[in-house]
Amino acid sequence: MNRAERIASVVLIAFGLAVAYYAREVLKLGLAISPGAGFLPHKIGLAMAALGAAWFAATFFASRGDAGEARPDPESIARERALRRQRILTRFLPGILLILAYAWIFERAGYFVSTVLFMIGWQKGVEREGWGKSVLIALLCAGAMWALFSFLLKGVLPAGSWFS
Amino acid sequence: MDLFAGLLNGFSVALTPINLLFAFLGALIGTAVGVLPGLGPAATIALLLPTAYAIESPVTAIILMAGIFYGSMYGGSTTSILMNLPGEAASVVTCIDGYKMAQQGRAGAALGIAAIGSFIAGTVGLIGLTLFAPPIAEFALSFGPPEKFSLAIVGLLLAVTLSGSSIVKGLVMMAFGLLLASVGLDPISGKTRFSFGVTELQSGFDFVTLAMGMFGLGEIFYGLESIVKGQVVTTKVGSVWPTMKDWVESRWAILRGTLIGFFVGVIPGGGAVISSLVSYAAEKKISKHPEAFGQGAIAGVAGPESANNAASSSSFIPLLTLGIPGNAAIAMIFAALLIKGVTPGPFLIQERPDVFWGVIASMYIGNAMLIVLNLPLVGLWAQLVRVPFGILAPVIILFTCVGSYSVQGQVFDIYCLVGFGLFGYVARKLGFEAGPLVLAFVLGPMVEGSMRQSLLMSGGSFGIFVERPISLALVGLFAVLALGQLAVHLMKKKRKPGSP
Repeated sequence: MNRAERIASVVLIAFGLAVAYYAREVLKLGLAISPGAGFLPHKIGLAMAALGAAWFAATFFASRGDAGEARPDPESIARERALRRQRILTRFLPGILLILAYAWIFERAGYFVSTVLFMIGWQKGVEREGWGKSVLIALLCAGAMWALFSFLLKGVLPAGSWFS
Repeated sequence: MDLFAGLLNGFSVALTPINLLFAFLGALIGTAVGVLPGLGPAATIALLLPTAYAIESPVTAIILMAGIFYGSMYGGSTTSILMNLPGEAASVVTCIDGYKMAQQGRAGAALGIAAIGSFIAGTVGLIGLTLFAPPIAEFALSFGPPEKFSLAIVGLLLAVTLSGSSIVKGLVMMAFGLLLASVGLDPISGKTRFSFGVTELQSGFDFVTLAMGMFGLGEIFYGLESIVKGQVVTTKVGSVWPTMKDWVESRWAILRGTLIGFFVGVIPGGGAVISSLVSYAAEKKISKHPEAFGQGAIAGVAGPESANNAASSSSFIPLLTLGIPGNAAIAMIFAALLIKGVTPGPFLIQERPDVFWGVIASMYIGNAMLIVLNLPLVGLWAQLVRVPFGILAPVIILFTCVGSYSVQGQVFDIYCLVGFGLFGYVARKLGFEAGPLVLAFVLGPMVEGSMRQSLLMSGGSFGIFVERPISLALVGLFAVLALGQLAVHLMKKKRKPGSP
């Protein structure tokens, strides 16, 4: 975690400085009596960079403080890492891709088709369920969600440009 | 309008059939949310924010959201006691003695005292809210832009310093919240900020999308990687009515928990989680048998459960009187009020007494509903935990995607939702809390607007924030609390090397 935190803190410093630069050069700071559009973002950017530096220092000193402490068994760490990597590859990444695909076809295929496809995809790809159960859950969820958003909340859901 | 006339007016609003129905729905959903691990009140209110657009009356919408908030405090104890699995953060401490009691065959007594303590504390908290809110709102009428700026900043800083484990990380999230709030059209110069030519970004990020992404989707992404399993206690729950001995052992704990919860809940960032922890620590310290804590002491359940319910009532005080949300769930209610065109703050009691008193009155009713929902139906609530994550996760994803789309009718919001979800996931992995970001996002426009107005008033001098007495008092109050916290931190550090 320390390595990840250190990388993230450096990214935060760079991001904060970029925000401060953009706010100063593009948005403009204005005068103290009448601050410009970039005044507050500039201060936020500088604060982010300073906080990133403080975070980096904190993780650096924490890692030095931990040096004398007993470390957990390397085998169990490796096992835990492998399990987490497997979960990321089999559940997390397919899940994200499915949601992005759902967003892409949402207006194109329309609410009902895209939602049923997404739910079937989720049950098959992420949860590894059988076809029957996947289709049943997909139809029930798509119907319930339609009833809630379209019927009860009077929202407008897309019919689908592919079919119009 | 005097206090009783106001409250009577509130009850006339809250007792209409539609408001009663939504108070019941809020209490029901809140209890379910409290029971289900992983889905906290802030996430659920975020998921339900799109419904605020469809509910016609602002009072009804806020009654629903408030019901979810205080309902979740009741429900959270069920899984803590029966499964050693806190349904929401404020019930973490209930696991310690509650689960032990369940293992000893006293689950019924633990659940009963948690519900009764919650009812007493929730009601006392509401009486405090009724008594203290109007004078605070009247006092806040004298606030100008410098006071508003100081109040918002001090509120945010307190939320950051009190709510999380790392102050630096809390401040980083606060900075991100303020930055995200500045995206879009600058109201004074008319310049677009950070939109980089994307038309949809010219009006800024939508709060509903941000909240649903950070809390709803972020939570699901985290759950996809880690699966938490709890062990249900298989012994009989038994009678939920505590015995006379249980009463004697827990009555003062309930009272102390109520007082601690009420006062901690008022402080921005204090809220239900801290109040339950403070209450548990206080009970253990005061008890003649501190060794019994952790072994199934009923006071260890009664105190914290009372504290988190009293805090949930009193955390409405800064929202309704000052327009400052003290925690993430209250920030969602703040956003729901804005969606309905109601600005929370000192003018609320004068301009919209129906909202102010109606919500308070509905909380008395909802509190009574909750005790009926929780005591006899405890077995049913415990079954809810059996809903598999494989079904719950895609349903929540669908809800967030369709909900986010329905607000403005644009797919761009779904992409933003996924982006915020990933941001929430990464932040959680790195030990950041989403609360300060959401609070800063909500208060961002007020912070910037009041800062610019103040600088205009002072001719560009930042001294205005410490020259005016109320503003100076707010800054001083923060300094005292921050120094106090620093002293506690240093004392803990000093004690650590020699402590057993």
